[in-house]
Amino acid sequence: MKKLQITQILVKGAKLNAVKLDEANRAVTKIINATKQRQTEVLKLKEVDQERLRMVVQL
Amino acid sequence: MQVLPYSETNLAESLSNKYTPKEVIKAKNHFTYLKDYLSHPEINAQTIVIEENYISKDFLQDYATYYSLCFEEYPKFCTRIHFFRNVFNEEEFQIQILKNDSGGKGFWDNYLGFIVIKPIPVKIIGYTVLKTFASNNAFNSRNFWGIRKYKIHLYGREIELTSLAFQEQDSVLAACATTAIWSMLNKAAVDFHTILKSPSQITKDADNVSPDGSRLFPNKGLNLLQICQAILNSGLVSEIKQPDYIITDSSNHIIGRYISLSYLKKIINAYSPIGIPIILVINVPNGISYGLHAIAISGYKQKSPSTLAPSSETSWLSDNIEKFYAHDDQWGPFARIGLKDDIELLTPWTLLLSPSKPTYATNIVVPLYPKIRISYEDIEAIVLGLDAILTLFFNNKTVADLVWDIKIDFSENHKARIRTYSLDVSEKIKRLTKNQPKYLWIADCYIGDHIIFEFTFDATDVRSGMIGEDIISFVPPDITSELKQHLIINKALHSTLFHHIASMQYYQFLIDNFS
Repeated sequence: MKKLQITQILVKGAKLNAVKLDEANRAVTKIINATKQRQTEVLKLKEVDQERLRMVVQL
Repeated sequence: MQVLPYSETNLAESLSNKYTPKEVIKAKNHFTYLKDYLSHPEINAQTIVIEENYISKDFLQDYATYYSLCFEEYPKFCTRIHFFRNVFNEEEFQIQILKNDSGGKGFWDNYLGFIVIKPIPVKIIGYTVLKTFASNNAFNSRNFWGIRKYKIHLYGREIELTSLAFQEQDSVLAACATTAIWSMLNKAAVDFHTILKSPSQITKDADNVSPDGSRLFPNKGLNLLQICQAILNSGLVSEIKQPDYIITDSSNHIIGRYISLSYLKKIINAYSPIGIPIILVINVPNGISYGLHAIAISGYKQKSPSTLAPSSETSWLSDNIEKFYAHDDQWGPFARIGLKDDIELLTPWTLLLSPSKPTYATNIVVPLYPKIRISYEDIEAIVLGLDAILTLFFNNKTVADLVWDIKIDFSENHKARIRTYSLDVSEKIKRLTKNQPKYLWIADCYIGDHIIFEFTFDATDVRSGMIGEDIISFVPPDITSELKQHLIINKALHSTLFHHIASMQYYQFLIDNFS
């Protein structure tokens, strides 16, 4: 596996700079809220439904 | 000993026994499956060798538990039938078995495996080891990750074959769940030194009585708790994965809960490097109704990473899995399972029975070595936070979407991969000489077919702690330094993105390791 060139990662002419994100920016808050929502859903999958544990696998 | 040319008729004849005539054999699902498997161009069986009076240790234990106590005089000896890709007669075969070890090597390279025929009615397929189709762990290939090496002894010869043992349930000592556990243990017994038991022993391990309170034998199936108990008594632990996909009717009443194919692919992809077959509980069409059935997944086929347009949704490399391969005790070994839409599985139950009805996954039972304590879902939650941070940093300037691949692996395998990475020698030495936990969760972040970052986490640690181990960056240093600055100046906003009590420690882990 080799170190990558910028052209393999970024669109032509693009430059990345560290910028302070605006908390009021709707695009930013949308990504953050959607991420938190998905995290909650993923962690909820760990809660085992006790009823289903008694289903018999019999075929 | 008997040597026969391979044909459907001779296969049916070879599989038959005193209690099961070849007409009954031909009506079995296994015959339908095995004749297709053995005549597939990649296997291409040409000759059958029948070995009489074979002692199968596996059957012997079941025999002692049940069949020896029947009034009917069931024999304790089995028949073992072997398959070869070359054409020969009995005389030529005798010449080959007389040759010394180095002689006739080419002849034995044509060996395709064996099936033990149990001397009982109808449920005749015993211990079976058959050669797999071509397999490797590259993209776009069949990858049978749940297989092992078997040393097979035949007339004084030792032949090595890589496969996973299969047998059908006898419906007396074992139902499908027991048989799926038995196949799983065949691999785990070698890699993890767990106890390989016969089907009757596995069923006894599950409980003292059947799920309905009646006697254990004849066995009527196991529930999920009993499956986990049987796995525990063999030296492993289980993680049960729950349905994540709900189907409702027009009145919004729930009519079905299933595992989505997206979740199923994530789980199989994530745990496959450990190499223990994964038990999948499926709802299969059975006549006019449906019934629950268990199979053991031991392989998959995955397309290579592709270029996706940047998106706000998190993308997963596991979505590139096209099909699974599973031991289905009512059909055969390495049965192909296609995937359709959001939840439908194309199993032999769907494809080979009429009328065709879909199969659904209802639960996944992941057998694990007890030291693996961190679940896939814990890592996915962290990766979702990482994806959001990187998405905000790259701000649609990447040539493709970020695609994530989460897998658990042995740290020694990870170190072997690090040796192939294009890193500075000092960076490699630092990582290769660092003490690591035995198991690591590894999250690779791709752009197109390039890995840009690799995050590793301790899979044996405590969930409430910060379990980040390392970050390897493959991007140019000026991007990494900008990313580090971005993390520092957006700390207040980003540090909430880990949904974890140790959020701040995770954030500091990123800052410390992006250098």
